[in-house]
Amino acid sequence: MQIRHLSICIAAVCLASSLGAQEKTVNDTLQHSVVSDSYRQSQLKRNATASEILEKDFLDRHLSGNIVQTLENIPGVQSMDIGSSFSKPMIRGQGFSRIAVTENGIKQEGQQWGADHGLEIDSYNISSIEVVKGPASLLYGSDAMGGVIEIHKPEFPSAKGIYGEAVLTGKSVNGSLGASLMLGYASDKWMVQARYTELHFGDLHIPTDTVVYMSVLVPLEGRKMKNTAGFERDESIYASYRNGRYKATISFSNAYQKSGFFPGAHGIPDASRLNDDGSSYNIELPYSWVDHIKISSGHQYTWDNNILTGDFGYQFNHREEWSAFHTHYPSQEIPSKDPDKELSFILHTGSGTLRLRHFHSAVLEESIGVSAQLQWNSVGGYSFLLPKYRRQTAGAFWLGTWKPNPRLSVTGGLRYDWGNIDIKEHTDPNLMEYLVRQGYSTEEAGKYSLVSATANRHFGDFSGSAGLVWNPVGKHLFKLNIGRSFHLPGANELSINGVHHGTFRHEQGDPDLDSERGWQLDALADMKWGRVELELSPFFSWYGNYIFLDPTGKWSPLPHSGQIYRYTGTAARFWGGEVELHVSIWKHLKYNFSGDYVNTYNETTHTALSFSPPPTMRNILAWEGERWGAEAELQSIATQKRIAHNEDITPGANLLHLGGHISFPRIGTEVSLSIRNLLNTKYYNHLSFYRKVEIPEPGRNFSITFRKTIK
Amino acid sequence: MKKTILILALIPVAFIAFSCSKDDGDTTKPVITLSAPAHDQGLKIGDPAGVLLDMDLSDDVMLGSYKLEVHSNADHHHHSKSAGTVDFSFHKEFDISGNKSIHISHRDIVIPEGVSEGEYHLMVYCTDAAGNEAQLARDIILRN
Repeated sequence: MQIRHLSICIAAVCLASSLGAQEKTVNDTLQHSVVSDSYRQSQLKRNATASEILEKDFLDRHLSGNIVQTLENIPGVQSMDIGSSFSKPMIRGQGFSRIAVTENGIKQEGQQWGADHGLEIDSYNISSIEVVKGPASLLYGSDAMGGVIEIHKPEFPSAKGIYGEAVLTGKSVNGSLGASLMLGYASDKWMVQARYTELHFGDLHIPTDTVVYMSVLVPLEGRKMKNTAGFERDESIYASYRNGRYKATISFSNAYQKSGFFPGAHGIPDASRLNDDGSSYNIELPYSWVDHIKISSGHQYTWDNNILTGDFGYQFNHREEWSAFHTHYPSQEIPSKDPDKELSFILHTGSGTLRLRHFHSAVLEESIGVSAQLQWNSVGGYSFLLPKYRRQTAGAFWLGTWKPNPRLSVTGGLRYDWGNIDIKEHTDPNLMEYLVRQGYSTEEAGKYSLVSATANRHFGDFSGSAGLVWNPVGKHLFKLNIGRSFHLPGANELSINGVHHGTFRHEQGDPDLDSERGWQLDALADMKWGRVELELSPFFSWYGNYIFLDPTGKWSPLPHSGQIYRYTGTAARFWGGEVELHVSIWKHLKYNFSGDYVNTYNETTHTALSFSPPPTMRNILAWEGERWGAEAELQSIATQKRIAHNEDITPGANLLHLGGHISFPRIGTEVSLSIRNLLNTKYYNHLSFYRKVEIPEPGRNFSITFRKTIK
Repeated sequence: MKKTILILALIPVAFIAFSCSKDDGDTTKPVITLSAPAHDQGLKIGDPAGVLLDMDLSDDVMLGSYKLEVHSNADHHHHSKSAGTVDFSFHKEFDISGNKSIHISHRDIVIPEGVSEGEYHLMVYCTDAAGNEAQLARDIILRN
């Protein structure tokens, strides 16, 4: 969706030329590779929903683990972690497929996997990223009900010729070592850049001696989580072409990640599988790997008062999980082929968007657009996670922006989406055999080994929004937005019937589920007085049909599972907000405060919804000099007492982090250092995949990054 | 102008005011206190009297049901089965709705002749009326 930003620049071209302004300023805007404050301001103004941009400098200095953990610095954004290396984003209490992540204008696929998998994106390959903290179905379709994380496309560098960077990162908490090399060449009309990243990490250190899994105390030798080592290898090529009215980009990327699962939380608990194997970097069973290939191309053509843009992409996800058959079915005959292949899942996604912007005048513009996505998959392995399905969605939208004066902008839009999902039936023969051995009747065993039922559903719904951005005297900025959005149920929510080992629960889908629908209201006030800036962004959302996992009280006959949970729709409310305060104290000394709060409420169970982020505050004292900077941060996480059924109250914590960086511009080098959790505090993340098995968060972590820029 | 800014700044207060809600749902799990069998207790295969199960279940609001499950804890790769024996497994559900706390004592688990010796898990699952669930696992050893 970077195309939109470029569109804005191009729009500026049209308007500027029609107003008789200098062509040169426009080119400057287009070629602006360093994101400046005014650029940021103008970006923030274009969106009536609360949004925030992190720029390259910030990202470079705060790349603590992966990009999602860096985004946590934005109040209202949380990271759902799986150990130290993989995370999923959450915005204002909504995560998984309710958040869209886009790269090169294409929505990233792979969120279907559930809580124990991260984003398949090269964290080093991000120059600028924007987070929209609110409903964005209007532009991004059904999967952006809770917000959007948009990775901006690389821009043309300011100078022609060869450019690039080399980055080296080391981290103590899991002995990780990463390297990333980018090389590019730019001319007037062309730029081409390629990047290679490789990251290896060992077993994760955590500040505890035992963890609890299925009520069994599991000892941790050397405070290390055995078999949590892994590696990541990413390659990408990006090219951009511009010539007069036409601009195009093409990109290819491949992300490969392989990592072990902690055997203490997989299958039947067994302390013998946790004996130290003498190595921190080996990956044994159980493990998983994922290969994600993405090809995308964007085009833009400008004429008269019009801009036509198109983004097209194809994605291929291939994921496999391997674990010894007998850790799941102890006394059964092993399958003859690939006996330890638990799951395999191949997903193909093709998507495209076309958008035409028309400028009636300097005060009024309209856009119309269409988008479509086609997705199909295949599954394998002795176990089951998701059924074979085919999903087609298409949408058409209209957007209008009216700027009666430079201080006020009113936007509104309407969109209609169609969706169809066709799910194939799936029977698990191993489970059938298990149940028959357990003494269940063939009829009952047959019922539970039908792990996915047939379903063919059609959906159609409106989304819309209306908002205003007001920029009165001084540097104050106000936004108000109301939106209606919807979200199609996932394949698992419609048809699954089995234990999801990501949640350790027997989950049952409901083929009759309706799409999720809700109204959202959000506001933002950004006020500046001299050295002080205060930003408040409250929100309120109401959903008539929000899908959650409801405990049924009925016992599951499946191995290692308690009761059955069923996907059910409920009325739900979310409210909360963020506060940010920035004070320039003296020279380069700055004080920043940020806080966020989310309150979720399930009107059926009269409890919170699961994975409600706890209130968090950050107090940061920073020195931001020309050549060097240093900061100390106190992160305070409140106890999360508001929980859903079968969640645990998570106690709060106070964490101290230190960071610093120094640059040597003459040799184009920058060194960043950080110490996370300086006091080695043992604490839990309410949103972590490991929370359920009482595995605490990583302890003290030193990390160092060297970055050399090539010009 | 200043007034307008003040009004806009007060929006958060309005948000909070109209969205307050009471959490009156029950999220407290039931409590399982298992007295027998004890940890690593040896249990005789083929004992017709059955295994003594003795425990207390309680909840702050109302109990729902409980489930007992016994399965082998032996890793098959290292497990030498005597010829002709199979792993013992057991599962049974019990309705205890209407009780806030209950003492359970029975010998429903009967281990028949001919099952494999070795380490097993006894799992106790218990729910309350709202659907909160507690689990407890106990290591037991089956012997001839």
